[in-house]
Amino acid sequence: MIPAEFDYVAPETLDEAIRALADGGEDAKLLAGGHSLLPLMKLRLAAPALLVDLRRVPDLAGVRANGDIRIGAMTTHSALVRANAGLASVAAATIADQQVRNRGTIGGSLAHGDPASDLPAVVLAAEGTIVARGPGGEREIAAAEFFRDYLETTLAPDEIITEIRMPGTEGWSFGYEKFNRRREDWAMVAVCALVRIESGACADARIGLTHMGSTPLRATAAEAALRGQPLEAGAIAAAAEQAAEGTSPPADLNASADYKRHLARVLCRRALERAAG
Amino acid sequence: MRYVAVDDCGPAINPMLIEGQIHGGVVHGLGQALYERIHYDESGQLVTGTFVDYCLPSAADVPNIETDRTETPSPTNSLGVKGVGEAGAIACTPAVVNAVIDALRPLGVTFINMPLGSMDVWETIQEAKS
Repeated sequence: MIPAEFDYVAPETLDEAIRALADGGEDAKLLAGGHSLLPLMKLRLAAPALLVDLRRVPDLAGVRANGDIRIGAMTTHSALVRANAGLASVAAATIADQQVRNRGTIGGSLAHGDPASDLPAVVLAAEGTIVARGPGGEREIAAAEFFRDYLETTLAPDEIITEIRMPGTEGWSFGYEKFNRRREDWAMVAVCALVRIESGACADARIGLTHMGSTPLRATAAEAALRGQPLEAGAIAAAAEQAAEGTSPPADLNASADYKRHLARVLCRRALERAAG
Repeated sequence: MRYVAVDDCGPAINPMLIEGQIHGGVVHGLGQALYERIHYDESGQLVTGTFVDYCLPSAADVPNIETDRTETPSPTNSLGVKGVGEAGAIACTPAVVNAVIDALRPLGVTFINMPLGSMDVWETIQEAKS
């Protein structure tokens, strides 16, 4: 329960943080809310030599929703809930418990790349982007290009996530459904659905799957099945039947792959029903 | 969900403490019925060694508990009191498991191993249907 020894710095600016991270080399890790990293360090599954704490870096937290939605990387889940920014806020409200939500951040959650976390699939389904800054400057990474494998992203080791951008939700309705053993647990499976409705029919659908693979996934077959269909019970149920198409979910003690596929179909139907209102 | 606990610990000396004991016991019983499992993998490694994996119910997972009591003094001591510490736990586990089995009775289900994880219940339903 006691982490290995490490050095600690808390830079005052983003440039200093980028420099500290580069100087620390591959043994340096960024510290945001610490609710993924510190447990790993306490279990000695991670043993960084240097922690670069981002808490003093200004302007990394906050939510702006003017047309598109921009969420600072250090925005805590609690602050995201309070910002009332649609799907991301609703999903953030289901993360763990209040203490974790008060510390954990969206940037930390995405950088950690855990497919069981709530926000990765939300940003993926919303076709958001991740803004990262490194010694070479700033770049914007599409969520579809960001998640590479279990706990692996395309973020370079010397880059810092500064902001998450998502398209505006005007004209879109959404649903978020999560199944877990206990309220504070990671999702066994979760499904987020964004639907654009035009004259009663589904003009577009974006469905994200949590914990159905080594990365967050889109339920592309279910999306395709729903486009152009009237948003009523029959079409929703038929589309949701395809929610697990092409997935090979990781099994664990509490959920086999078959059970997770079943959950994905049921949760997809519920999320779409909620989105349909 | 509604959970009703009626217990008899003789004359109630401190009703608040009695209710607290019942609440705590019921939650333990619920954990045993639905969540708590010690599991070793094939190489003998304990894989439920932390409270992330060894699942205890938290306040958010517990239904409202309605308590009531009868007061039958014990003849074996001068105060007439009886223990109440484990009362909630003893009744809760079979009550919850039997409630689940009762719900699945139309499918012919008469037994499920504890703890009744959601997957265990789902698999039991699938087997009963096939």
